[in-house]
Amino acid sequence: MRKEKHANIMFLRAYNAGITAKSLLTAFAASLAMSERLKNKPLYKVFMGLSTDILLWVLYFVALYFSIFILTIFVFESEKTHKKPHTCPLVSIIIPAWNEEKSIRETVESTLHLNYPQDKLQIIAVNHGSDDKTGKILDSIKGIEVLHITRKKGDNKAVAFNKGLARAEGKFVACLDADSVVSAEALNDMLPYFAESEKVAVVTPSMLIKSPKNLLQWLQKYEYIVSLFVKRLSSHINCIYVAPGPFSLYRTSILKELGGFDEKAIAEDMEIVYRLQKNQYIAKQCLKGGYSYVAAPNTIKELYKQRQRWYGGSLSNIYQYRKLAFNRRYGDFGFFQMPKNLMGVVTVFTTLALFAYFALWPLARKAYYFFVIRFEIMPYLLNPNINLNIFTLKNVQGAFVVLILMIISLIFFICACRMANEKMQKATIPVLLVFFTVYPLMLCVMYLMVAFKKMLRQDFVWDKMAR
Amino acid sequence: MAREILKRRYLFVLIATVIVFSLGVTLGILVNETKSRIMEKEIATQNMDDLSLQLQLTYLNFLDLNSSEGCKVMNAALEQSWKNLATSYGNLIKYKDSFEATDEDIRYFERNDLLNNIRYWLLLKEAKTYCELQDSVAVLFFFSETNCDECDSQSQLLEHYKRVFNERFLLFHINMDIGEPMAQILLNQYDINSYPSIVIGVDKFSGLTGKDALKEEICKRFKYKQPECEK
Repeated sequence: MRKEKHANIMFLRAYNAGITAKSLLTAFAASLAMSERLKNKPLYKVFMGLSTDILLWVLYFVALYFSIFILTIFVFESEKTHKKPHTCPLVSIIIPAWNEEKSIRETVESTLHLNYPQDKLQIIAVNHGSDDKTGKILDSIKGIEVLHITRKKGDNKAVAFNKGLARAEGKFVACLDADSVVSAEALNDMLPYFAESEKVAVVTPSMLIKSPKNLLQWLQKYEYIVSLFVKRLSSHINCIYVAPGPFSLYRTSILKELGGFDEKAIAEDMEIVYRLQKNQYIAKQCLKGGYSYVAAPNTIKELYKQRQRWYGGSLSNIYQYRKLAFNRRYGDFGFFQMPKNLMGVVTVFTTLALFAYFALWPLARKAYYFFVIRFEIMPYLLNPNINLNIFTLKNVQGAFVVLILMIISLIFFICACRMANEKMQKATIPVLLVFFTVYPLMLCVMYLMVAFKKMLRQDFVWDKMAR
Repeated sequence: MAREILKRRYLFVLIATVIVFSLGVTLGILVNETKSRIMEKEIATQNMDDLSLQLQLTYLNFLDLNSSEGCKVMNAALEQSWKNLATSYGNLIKYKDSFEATDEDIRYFERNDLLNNIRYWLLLKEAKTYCELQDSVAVLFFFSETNCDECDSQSQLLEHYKRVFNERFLLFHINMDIGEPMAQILLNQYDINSYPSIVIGVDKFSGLTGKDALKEEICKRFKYKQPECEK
């Protein structure tokens, strides 16, 4: 009886699945047929033609403009040499930690191994209500101050950092994420930038990925390398907009004057730099050395959690500081970086829309074709009718611009790898293929998901995000 | 306090961007012109093919005999002409999809292609009365791009059989949206009042003809048994 009931349920499920699949296929076929019909309606033709044309041309133009602009920085701007200071000022290093038992010891030890007088270092580790052994590990390390604070729901890293900032006595204060390590010479490489002007409020590190192990981490490694290269170029025209958690070095007086990190911000490391820019302070990127190494997410789920914070924070900050855009008071930050950040958002959506239109739709049509011929694909394989000639070239104007963009991107990529002493090997070719094709699309999809989440006004809870 | 703005740099980059764009646009125009020229050349070649085939027919008719040598030459000419038509149609489809093509050009090339198709179909019919030609099935496919839900599916199925039977399956696309009077004559002759409709031999099939039914009708009309029909 029971078996019979189970069989009935299984049959019903299969039947329902069949009906669902059939209705989905019917709907798909109907929508394809309708699109084919619509495709040739004059109004649709004009609308779709114009909208895709305008989208494409705007995207090409903007992408080309920004790429050429960055290229000019690369060509025309020369690096200033920074002398090491004669004196060693007191530097406070704050390490906010929440459930970081796996990495915290290595992180703290990297600060103890800094090539800097130990009596000029104040290391403050903030145990932010960890449930694991983080607190015990910190207590066992000598030569550091440990702060134990309770953690309320929704508290972010900024809360822990600000607690540490209140205790900081150094002229400069660094923030070091608990999953990162800093290179021995980092402080010596970064401190000289503060001598340029009293207005220099933050020097950001050269952040790279700590020993990648899987494909996803390798992809992020290349992403960080390119990002570092672009940041170094942007630094020449005072266009830094983020100070990453792994060892950004601040002038304490300015940071305290501005009230420390924003405890409500999704991406406090980005918000603080926008705030500094708004208050006419200078953010610099360390151009030589100043390396810190960060653990990269090793699963797509973890990566998405991280990007929720990055992209969600980016959208919030762009909106919050929108008045900086095209404002003469903020110089190139207002005229180049703000529009670039804004166009970045537009580019993500346009890229996805165009990808769907030019790649997914033809693929869907091909799938429909196979469905119509009931998957009798042998004749198709034997006689694919691929005739490559001049007629295969579509949108030559666009293709030319894309080619130029690809050449510029390749130049950037090669220079970025050289800068990071990253040597290309045969084994890395498949990684690079994924890096240039699938990976950007994957990030665009993540951006879209985060944007939808933001549009639906869903909360970005720190617990569900990652650094 | 106002910060530095690299005004000259912005202007320089703008000029550079416009130059790259202009180069792209110029290249696009050149490629489009080349495409148009090739299409024109293809039309001229087809016209020449038609003229040649007509002359061959007239000659055979004039002599009133079934010259096997003449028919052999004619068969080869027909085959070549069909290949040209197929290539031209493939190019036309790609040309229609390209961004640079103007509607006016597309209509002109489509009309030429339609007329060439009909002309070839008529020649083939006539040639069959004089010569023993390759065993083939000709299909007229009447469709509309703007007013037909099932034309796309029908087209996919017909294209499938074109792949199956290759040059033994001669598919003639009659696009009724072009407004060609000759297409209207065919439409009236076969009493077609809905799309998609296909004419195989002298039989008309209205509405979507399914995969199996289509195969059956095609196979029926071959003079000899085809291996593809046995499967």
